[in-house]
Amino acid sequence: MRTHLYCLLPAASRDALPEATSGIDGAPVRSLVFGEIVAWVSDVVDRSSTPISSVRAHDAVIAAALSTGSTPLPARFGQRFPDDEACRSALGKRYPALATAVDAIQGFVEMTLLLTLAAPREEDLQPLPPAGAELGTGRRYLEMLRAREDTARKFSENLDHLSDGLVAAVRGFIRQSSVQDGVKRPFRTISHLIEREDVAAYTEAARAAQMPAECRMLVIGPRAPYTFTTSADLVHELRQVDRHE
Amino acid sequence: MTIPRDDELETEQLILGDLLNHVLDKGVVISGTVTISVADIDLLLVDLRLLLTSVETSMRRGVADTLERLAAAPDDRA
Repeated sequence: MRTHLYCLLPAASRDALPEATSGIDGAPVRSLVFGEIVAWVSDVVDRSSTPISSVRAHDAVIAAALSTGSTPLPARFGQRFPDDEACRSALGKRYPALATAVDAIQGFVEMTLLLTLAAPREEDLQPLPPAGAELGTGRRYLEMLRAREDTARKFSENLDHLSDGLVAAVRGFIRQSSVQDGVKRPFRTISHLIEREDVAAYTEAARAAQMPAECRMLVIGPRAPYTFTTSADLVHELRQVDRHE
Repeated sequence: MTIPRDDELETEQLILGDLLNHVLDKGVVISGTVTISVADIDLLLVDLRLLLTSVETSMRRGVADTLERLAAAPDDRA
């Protein structure tokens, strides 16, 4: 058995862990108090590879932590310790920075805007046959592929313009921002750190933004600030935020 | 049996890909050692960046941690 780490919370929420919370493989989640922070952990059995259900379970525990009212500092998946003491020891080595980061993210959540190409409608992919010509099956297929590629290229070319419009719609709520483009396909992930109380207004504003028919937009969240805990500048930047503006 | 529409399938795939990108590649690292070997994932669902970033990040963190350890305990260099 090893100790799997899910997230860190402020010590004030040490009693917030619901009794029935279960994590990977249904193991009960427990809290380890270390100074001013609480770690949510559970026992796990080492396996040669991890099923996707474990990844989902990790995220579900962090979502449960977020629903307590505090904002958890999510741990990257895959951090396992020989036992609870080893976990405490690792926390101890980075304690001041972790405690400050846990404190700094309170009141904030992450929202994600996912922009991609909408699934093409068949009628949009039908090529116009040349005048007086019948298209064979092979030619029709190639023309359809070309039409699809044209749409994808147009979308990629317009991605900056599209995301600018979208971000403008929610600009008033953004405290930090991170953009990641896809490699395999036209795709953009825009993550925003916003105040928890702004979630409904942010979602409404994003959904109201005008998007062209070839664009598909998903609003995902609220969730723990995964993206913004990766940044080394997190603590410094959040310290500059006046939450009472 | 209900057959999901293409739109619904694509939405599920997008959400799963986004989940994996967040859980496997983001979040605070405490131990410096992150072991990921996820089975049952259709890699077509996951953006390639996930794999690239994971490898790059692991290497970067591995190097950074090694340097950190060496700086903290010079006697270990032998």
